[in-house]
This record gives sequence, structure tokens and C-alpha cells, in this order.
Amino acid sequence: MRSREEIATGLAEAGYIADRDLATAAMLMEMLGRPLLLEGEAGVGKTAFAAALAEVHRARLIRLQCYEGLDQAAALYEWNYQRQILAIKAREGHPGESPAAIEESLFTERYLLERPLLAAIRQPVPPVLLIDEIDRADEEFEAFLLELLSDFQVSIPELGTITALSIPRVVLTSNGTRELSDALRRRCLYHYVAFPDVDREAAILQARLPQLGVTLALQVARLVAEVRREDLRKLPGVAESLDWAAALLGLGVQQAATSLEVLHETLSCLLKTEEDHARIDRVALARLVARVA
Amino acid sequence: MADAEARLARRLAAFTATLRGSGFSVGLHETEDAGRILASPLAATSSSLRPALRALFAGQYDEWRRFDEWFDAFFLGRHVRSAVRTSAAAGTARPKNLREIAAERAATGNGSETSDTIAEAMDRGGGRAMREGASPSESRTERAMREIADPEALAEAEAIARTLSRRLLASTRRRQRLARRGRRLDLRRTLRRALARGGTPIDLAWRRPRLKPLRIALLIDVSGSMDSFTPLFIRFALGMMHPGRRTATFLMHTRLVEVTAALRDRDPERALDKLTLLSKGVGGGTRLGESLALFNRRHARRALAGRAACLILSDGYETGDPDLLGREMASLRKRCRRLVWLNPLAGESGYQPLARGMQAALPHLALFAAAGNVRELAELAEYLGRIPGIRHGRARLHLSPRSPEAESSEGVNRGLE
Repeated sequence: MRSREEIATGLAEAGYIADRDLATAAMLMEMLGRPLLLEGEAGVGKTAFAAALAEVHRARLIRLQCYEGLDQAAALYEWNYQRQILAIKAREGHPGESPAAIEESLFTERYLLERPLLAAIRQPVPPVLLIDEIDRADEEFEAFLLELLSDFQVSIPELGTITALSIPRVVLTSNGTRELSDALRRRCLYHYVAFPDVDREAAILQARLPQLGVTLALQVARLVAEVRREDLRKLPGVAESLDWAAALLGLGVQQAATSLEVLHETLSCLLKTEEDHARIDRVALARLVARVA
Repeated sequence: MADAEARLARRLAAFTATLRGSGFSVGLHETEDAGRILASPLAATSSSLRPALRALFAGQYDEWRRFDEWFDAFFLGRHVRSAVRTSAAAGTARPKNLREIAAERAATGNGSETSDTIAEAMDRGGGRAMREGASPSESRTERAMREIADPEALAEAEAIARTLSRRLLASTRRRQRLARRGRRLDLRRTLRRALARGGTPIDLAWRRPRLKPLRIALLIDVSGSMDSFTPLFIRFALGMMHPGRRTATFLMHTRLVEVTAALRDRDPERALDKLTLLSKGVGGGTRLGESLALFNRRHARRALAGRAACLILSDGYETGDPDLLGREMASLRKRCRRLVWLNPLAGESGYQPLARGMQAALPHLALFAAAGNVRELAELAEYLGRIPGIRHGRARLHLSPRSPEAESSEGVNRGLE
């Protein structure tokens, strides 16, 4: 088993700068074999964590995006009815085969459509299963998921029970649009992903955009931290500050303080509502820049 | 060594019991896994043990945030006072458990000096929490809120709310159910059934939208002018909260307070205590605009996610800026399916919605109706069911054919008559 320092280093190599607590949680996932539930504002890197974790373990990342109305057929498995009917039609007029044999051949792997959850438990090497935005799925699906996460087996009436070849590492993310059930919360480890502090955000920017200089990375991180302190409708996440830094990099900005105009023009990377734009006008931006410089 | 392990196990059991007492849901599995963590290298320092146990025991953000204080109070004997204060503020004060901590610490001989100070700190902290619960300067509304402990008086309002909330449904867009007749053909299932007929689609499967409970957000004005209606509305909210329904309830006075968790408490006595703690400041003037602004910013995303109706229960006497109220109402209308204003005064003869707040809010409402007593609440069911977009449990196939404008203006007229 890896120590949390090793996991943190591995995540950093995969381009994800995690805080110590998240690395601890990742280590516990290994130790206790429990899924990890990540909550936090949009764009703080919940999904990116799963991708980085897959890289750390050199495992496949299998992603299930949840949405309202997600059901077993889209999440677990489904029979390929169209193909089955084609097979039946193709055999019409060939009296050689017995009906039993035809039926037998119709319900085999060949006609089974594997969806993310089934795929995840049939991997020989444990994959990372990312169940994204679980709060968007409805309660029925949550209950079904809970069952799968405790047994790691699926029964398909026509095929029998499929037991997991390996237990996947499961990461669930939630944006808190719906209260999750206590049962699911209890089954999982929990970590709240907060906005990173200035130093960590600067490290993230540099890890993702190596061409970004140390000074500019730090300035962008400080500016974003200041912007987050403003009374905004939608706070910018790490994803937004990455976009912004990339934009500044592309436009050849060296120093934040000397390129106020470019900063203001590229604010649309950071602020996503009209109201927020109105709040951070040129004057307000100049004030923020003066504060971080 | 074995002795030390046994002692550790005992302390762990005591810790989980403390957590359980303060509202964490900790099962046997969690305790077992905590044992494994304690046996691992993570237990070497408290700076690595704390995040590990936190990831395991916390199930939501609030617990995750408070966990460190509980951990430090228990294992390090620190922050005891603030732990008590936080929990009192969060309405889950269980000083008894911290007292047990002190007793336990004393029993294990873990430095009697510390435990004395803890006990003292707790007495101070706990005492304050208790004083807050029943202050001599109890306002009229606080007394009024105490009255809802009376099981008989307002049971009817609660019963009405329960029926009402059960009957309010919204059709879902994505989830559909199979039906014998419907609007859309379920191709996949039709093909599946065709398998039995050698591939010829004879048995057709149809789908129609499934109905699910409408999410409701209640914003209850508990300012001084609403004094006499507050018990009725609180009871109404209690009825709306029944299990399985996703209702969020907020109190508005000079600020906005969420009381969903307090109302959901299974123990009515405790729910009432929490409510009293949370309703500090009740009885002053209302700043509806500011309350709504805070709601829009902080809570609306969660409380109104999906298909939701927002019910505001207020007399519309705004002490703040009516323009702000108008703006916030406009943005609230965009966020929920239907915005409903229930005014307890609207049922009185000769009522005109002339209050500045009411004037600012009127253009944004789908329904403006009276709700001053149990009878008017009962009539609500019918009106709510007629708002387009909200389905009515029993009469869902007999939606009124009139246009939305006609219906909503009828709703508004109802208060104006």
C-alpha cells in the first residue's frame, strides 16, 4: 500500500496538485476499499481528481455521467434488440437450427451492450470508476448504485450473475443540487474540495501550463483569490483560472500590473454572468491588481 | 501492548458514541474501519489521523467542517468551548456528550487539570446555550412559536399541508413510464416485445411522462407584523416536510435563516427548541428584498433544483428597498417553475395589495392568494393545482383548458376581490 506522500507525489506527476487531506482520503480508499464522495463548488477539480487517480494507478478511467432519468439500461447493460431481430430474420427459411439453439445464441455476450457500470466490474485490472454528478440522477438510481457498490455483482436474468473480476476504485462527485441519501453518504469516504489557497493554485497553474512564469502564475492566483472574495453570483473555479492564465499566456502578458487592458478584456474567462461583469469593471479590477502587485 | 490496544479501542468507541450523539451517522462498519486506521501508520500523528478519520466519519460538508473541533476536543482537549458554541449555534447542542468526554478523560487519568478546565468551559458554554433557549426577554412571536407545541390547536394546518404537498406533482421530462396508451412510442420495448412474435411489432409499447413530487421552497416571513400567523405557517411548513418530499423552509425577518433541518427533526420537542434558537431576531421589521437576495445567492440553486415551486408567505410590508425586492423577485421567478405569494391579509374584505413590497412583487407572481386561516389554506389546494406546470394529483388529466394568463390573473384577482 502506498503512503499518502507517495499518492500525493503520484497525483502531482499526473498534473494534479492535491492537498494533504485529499491524498489521505485517496490512501484510505485503498486501505478500506470504500468509494470516495467528493463535494465542492463547480470547477474545483473533482472530476480531474479521478482522472489523475487513474493515472497514478495506471488504471483505466471509466466514467458514468449522471443525469435525470438515467436508468439501468444506460448505466449497466442492455440487450442489442435490433441485432437480435436481425439474427432471427436472417435465420428465417433455414429450418436446420432448432428454436432452442437460436434462442440460446441470441442471449450471449455478442448481443450484450456493456454500459459503464458493467464495464467497470468486468475489468481484470481494477479501473477507476468515476460516477459524475450523482446528485443529478434520481433517488431510484442512487439506491440501485448503493446495491452495486456493496456487492459488486450484477445479475442479468438471461445470462446469470456476473461477479466483479476486480473491485474498481470508485469516485463519486456531487454539486449538491440534491440531498444525497444517508446510506450512500455512509457507504463512502467524504472529502469537501475547497478552492485552493494561493500557493496551491499557483502550483496548479504551473503544473498545467509549464510555460507560465513563476511570477505570472502567482499573480494570477492572487488575483483570482481576490476576485473570489468579491460578492459574485458565480465564483470562478480552478478551471476558470486555468482558462484565464492560458488566455493571458497566449496574448503575451508578462506582468499583470502593466497589462490592465488585456486583463479586463479576458475577464470573460473568469466571470460567467453579466452581473458579475458589471461588478468587476475597469476601476474595480485596477483596485484588485493594485492589491496583489 | 495488548493493554494499550484495548485502551485505544475503548477510546475509539467512546469517540464514535460522541459523534453519534452529535448527529453524525456512524455505524458499526465505520467503527471497524476506524480501528483499521488506528492500526495503520496514519495513527502516528494527529495531523494525519485527523483527516483520515474525518474522511471516514463525515458524510456532508457541515460535518466535515465541524469534525476537527470534535476531534480536537476529544483527543487533544482543545477548542472545547468553541465546539460547544458551534453546535449550539447549529442547533445540535448536546453538551451532555462533552460532559461525558470530561468524565472519561478524568477516568483514564489523562491529566486532571485539563479535564477541570474542560468541565468549566462546558458549564459556561452549555449554560449560555441554555440561556439562549429561554431568555426572559422572549418576544411575542417566540411565545407564539412555543404555542405550536400544542398538539391539538394547529394539527389541521399540518394535515392540510400534508395532503396538499402529496398532491402537488410535476411531470418529469426525461423519466417516462410505460403506459398502455400514451403520446410516444417506446421503440426499444416495442422491439423487445416483437422478439416474441418473430420480429413483427404487434404489441406496441407507449410511454408517457412520469409524475413526481414537486420540489417546494417555503419562505416564511416571521416579522412583527406577521406575529399572529407565524404559528399557523410554521405548522403548515411542518406538514410540508414529511419524509420523501424535498421541501426546504426558510424564515425571513431581518435576515434569512434556513430551518429545514430543524423542522425535519423526528423529535418535535427538539425541533421546537432548534427553531426557537434559529428564530433569534424574529419579530423585528422585515427586509424582504435582502432576504430574497440572500436566498437567490446562497440557497436557490439547491432549494429550487429541478422542478420546484417557491411559496412566499408574507404580508408584503417591506421595511427595506422595494426596488430591490422587485429585482430579486424577477430573478427568483427565473429560477423556479412557479412563484406563489400567500398573503394572510388578502382574505380580509376590502383588502388591496397596496403595501410597497406587495406592489413590487405582484408582477412576478403566478398566484397571489389569501392564507390567513385554516379554511383559506384548504382552498389553496385547488388554486395551486390550477397553475400551469403544477400537476394536481387527482385531477391531473383534467387540467383547465384556459390560457396561462387567464389563470394567473384569476389567481391574482382572487386576492383583489
